[in-house]
Amino acid sequence: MIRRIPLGLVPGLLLLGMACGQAGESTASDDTDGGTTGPAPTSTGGAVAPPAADAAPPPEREVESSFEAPVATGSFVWVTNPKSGRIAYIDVRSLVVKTVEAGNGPTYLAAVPGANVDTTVVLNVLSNDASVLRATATGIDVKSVKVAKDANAWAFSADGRYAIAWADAKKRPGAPKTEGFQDLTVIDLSGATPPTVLAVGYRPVLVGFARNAPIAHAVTQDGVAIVDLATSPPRLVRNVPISATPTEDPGTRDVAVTPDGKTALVRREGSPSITAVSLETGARVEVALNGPVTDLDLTESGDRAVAVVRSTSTVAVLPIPGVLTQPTQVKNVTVTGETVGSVVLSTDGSTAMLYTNASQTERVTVMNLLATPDPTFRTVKLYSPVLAAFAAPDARHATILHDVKTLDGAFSLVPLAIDLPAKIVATKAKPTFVAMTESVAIVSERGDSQKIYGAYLAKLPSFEVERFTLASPPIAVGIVPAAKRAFVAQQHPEGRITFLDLDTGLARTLTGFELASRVVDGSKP
Amino acid sequence: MKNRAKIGLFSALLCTLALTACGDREEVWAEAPRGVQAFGLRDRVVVLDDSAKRVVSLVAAADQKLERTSVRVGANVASVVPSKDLEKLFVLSYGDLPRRSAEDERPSLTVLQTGAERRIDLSSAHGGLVADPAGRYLAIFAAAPGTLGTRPPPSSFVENPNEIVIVDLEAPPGKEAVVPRSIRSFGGKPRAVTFTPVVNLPGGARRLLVIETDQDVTLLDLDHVHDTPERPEITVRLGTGSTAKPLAPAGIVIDDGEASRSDDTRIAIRISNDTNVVMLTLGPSAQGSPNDFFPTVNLSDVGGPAQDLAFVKTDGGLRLAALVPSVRAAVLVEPSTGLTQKVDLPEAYSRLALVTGAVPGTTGTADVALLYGATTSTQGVSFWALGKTAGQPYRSLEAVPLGTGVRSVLDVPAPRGDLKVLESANGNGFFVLDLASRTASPLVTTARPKLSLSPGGERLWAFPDGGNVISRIDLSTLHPVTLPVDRQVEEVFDVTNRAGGSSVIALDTRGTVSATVLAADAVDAIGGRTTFGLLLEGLP
Repeated sequence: MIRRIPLGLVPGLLLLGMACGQAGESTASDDTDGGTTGPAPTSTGGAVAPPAADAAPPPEREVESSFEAPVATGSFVWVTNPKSGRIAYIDVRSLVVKTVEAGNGPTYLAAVPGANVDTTVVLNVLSNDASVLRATATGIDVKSVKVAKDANAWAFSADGRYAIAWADAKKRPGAPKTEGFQDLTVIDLSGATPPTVLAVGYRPVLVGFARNAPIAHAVTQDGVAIVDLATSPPRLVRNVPISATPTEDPGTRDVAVTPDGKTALVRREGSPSITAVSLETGARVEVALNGPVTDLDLTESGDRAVAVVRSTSTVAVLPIPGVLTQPTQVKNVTVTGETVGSVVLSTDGSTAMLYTNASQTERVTVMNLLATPDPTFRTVKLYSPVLAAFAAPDARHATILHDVKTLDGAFSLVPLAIDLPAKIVATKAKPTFVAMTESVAIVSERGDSQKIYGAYLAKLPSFEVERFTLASPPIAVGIVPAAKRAFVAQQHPEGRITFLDLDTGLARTLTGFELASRVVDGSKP
Repeated sequence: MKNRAKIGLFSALLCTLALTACGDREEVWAEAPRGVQAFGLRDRVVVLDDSAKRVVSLVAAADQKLERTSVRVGANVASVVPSKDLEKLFVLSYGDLPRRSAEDERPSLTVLQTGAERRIDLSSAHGGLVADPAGRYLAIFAAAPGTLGTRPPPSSFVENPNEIVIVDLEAPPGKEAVVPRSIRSFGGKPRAVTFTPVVNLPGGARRLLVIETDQDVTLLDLDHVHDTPERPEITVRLGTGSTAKPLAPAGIVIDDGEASRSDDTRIAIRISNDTNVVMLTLGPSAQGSPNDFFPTVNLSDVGGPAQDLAFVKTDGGLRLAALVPSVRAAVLVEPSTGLTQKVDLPEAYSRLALVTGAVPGTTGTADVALLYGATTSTQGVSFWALGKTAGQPYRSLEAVPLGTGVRSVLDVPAPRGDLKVLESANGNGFFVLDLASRTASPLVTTARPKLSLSPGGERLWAFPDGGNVISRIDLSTLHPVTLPVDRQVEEVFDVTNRAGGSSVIALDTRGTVSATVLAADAVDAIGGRTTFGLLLEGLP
């Protein structure tokens, strides 16, 4: 099972733990039909559907949501207003709000990683273009570039030079089958080459870049398209099939691409094997496991993948790229006495959290992947069923969201590095979003029927928790460590965001971004 | 009293005849007094005689005789405003418009106080005048047509509505007292100005001038008003720019926050055409800003247009209280987070007055507010104790039914600050509200009364507009005494007389103005004196 980021936030600043996809790393599901997103206790605050009570447990559930939310860069939080055509940017330190004109209907906003200055890009859905916004000493520099129709998602190279605007069909659930969403727009943010539109396979589900090579890839239903960025203009150089069966239903498979862009790993629902595909040669290798693989995750460095077989509680560690040449050299560890169907890896790849949310299991298993000769593990007792897990970047702590059937909810703070008990925190409504740094975690809650909205700020490692009442439903959370502030974006017609000072715990809410930006202090003629 | 009055009238006629016999008369003799208006200061009454370009100061002597002094003011008076301490009177004049000769007067401001007058020439004519409650500044601006207390200009002329003339009565040496500023405009025109008290801002203690236009709010740093180059004002535009409908400010309230902090001064703005209130938090400015503070803007939806605002102390901390009569509620807004708590009210109250200090037994951690409605639809007042108990954001809401709405509330000066005078909306009387006992004593009148309080809070004067009686109500006993006067009464002022006692001066401002002076504690009219033709004396 692959979870998607429930927030459109900045990697490195707004860390959503192990459940996050990575900007440079590629993991995705080919789940394109009908836009099924799994239970979403996030933006809607709806209850998570309970597993069926038949003999065979249901699939592991994906906890995700799809919406547009603020993004943060080093100094600013950026929020789009598709209606006014403006983007508000909030100075995280002074909380001064300003706006800048974008195109027509600015909607899909993303922060550009690796840029020297605070940089974001936004897709303007009504003018079929994108605005590149860069913070300068005098304000925000805006440049407009044409993009292919229907683009609604972004991918960036690690150095921030290239961006690809693409169309994620999952955001268009009602689209007819004849809509292929096959155009990618490759944008050289340095301006050296003009934007290029390239056609790839049917309905891409994931676009990414190789970390150290001028190569991009797009996982589509027709295979993985490889784009050479070294040429001017960039061009599509090959399409690598990921299945020997061209008629295979792509809706049942998850595809992960290593950060170096050289290997793709394919998991198929119900299949006991993982397919490893060399994106350089097209060679495919089947890695046989001892039961249907229920989840697969890649480390951020791309040196290993972890697959989970729930039926046998087996955790398989696949060396990358070694598995391509020696598919039997997989390290299998059985988590005796536990049911594990999902895996979440820490950012550094040292730790795996193993659990199942397909049944009401009140335990999580913490596995040390670096232990020799074999990974070691311990099981942490919890006091409520597990729904999702998020790890701090240093892999020392984790936040577990619980699957509570009543209107309220709970989350637990779990020490990963030391064998200490977890702390459970009862919430007044369903937990929705999580962000973590090494020293703090923030969890939002949302109860629309009870009109209860709040956020919990947890200090690490003390696990001291403070609740903040919110005036409206949270739609995203994040942490800006440099400014020592966490933020909770909320649903409000005029825009609302609450900043929490990590040192003092003081809350400051800004409502009405457009209004706030219209303060004239005479600093400009 | 009547004999004395006749003698006075006879003297005036003789004077008139004598002046007539002495050759050419000043033009003022050829016309009836116009623009007559009376103002009460602590120790005198000042009558404006606009046609004669003067004010006549009336001081009561111990024997109730009137001492009269005439002081010249500018031509075509626009506004007259007394200072808060009732020691000064500010008279703003348009001057002669247009000026045809060197003799024609420029716009001017005359500051009157005991034993001294100060005339300040102005470079432009405006009608609006607001005095700083602390006494240092005056703001002169283009008042909107029909503004209460502002007279229309004598002739049409071009006016810059966004010019605010600040008069610094305590200008430092070498600095001009008059500082004209044209505030930045996005199409709005000033409607109201407010002087803030001293507030603790990131750059230090400051006083601000808050200017409300019909679509934005401007903040001007008064402590840097003399700076060269000019320190620009800060404009908060109250509209998103997405629609042509701006948010129209309708009043502000200010709170300086905690004494130890310099980033929590707040200005709340109610909006006449929107359900939001706007909160400005004055924090540090960004680098490069010409001001050393910057407002962070916040909106809070209170469910309907707020009719009144006040910052209140609750057990949970500072809150902005907004009265929203359209939903029969008060809404408490937490300033930092914008969280709102609705408090249902028994009546659609539209006005709020804090009475904490006057209510015995209050702890100081939570305010007590008096709620009333300036309409006949409400039937009383309520005391709102803002302490907090479990489950509700206030401790108690105690209604005092009056059987009528309350038109206005008069604050009785110290030492009787525990009393309020409530003018009934139906015009049949008024109530003396005792905040300590929470009793409301009705006093019935046969016509809508005009009310005037003594500066020391001992007495209330009530009289029918244009009648020939005045009634004194002792606020300790609520015992009324009705006193007859010779002429009809339009204004009554309770002033300190020359001997240090109190006199009441009842004015008939018709014609050449007459005044009846009585001892403030008189039980009948026997010791009173009436003087006629007050504006016939002292003319050139």
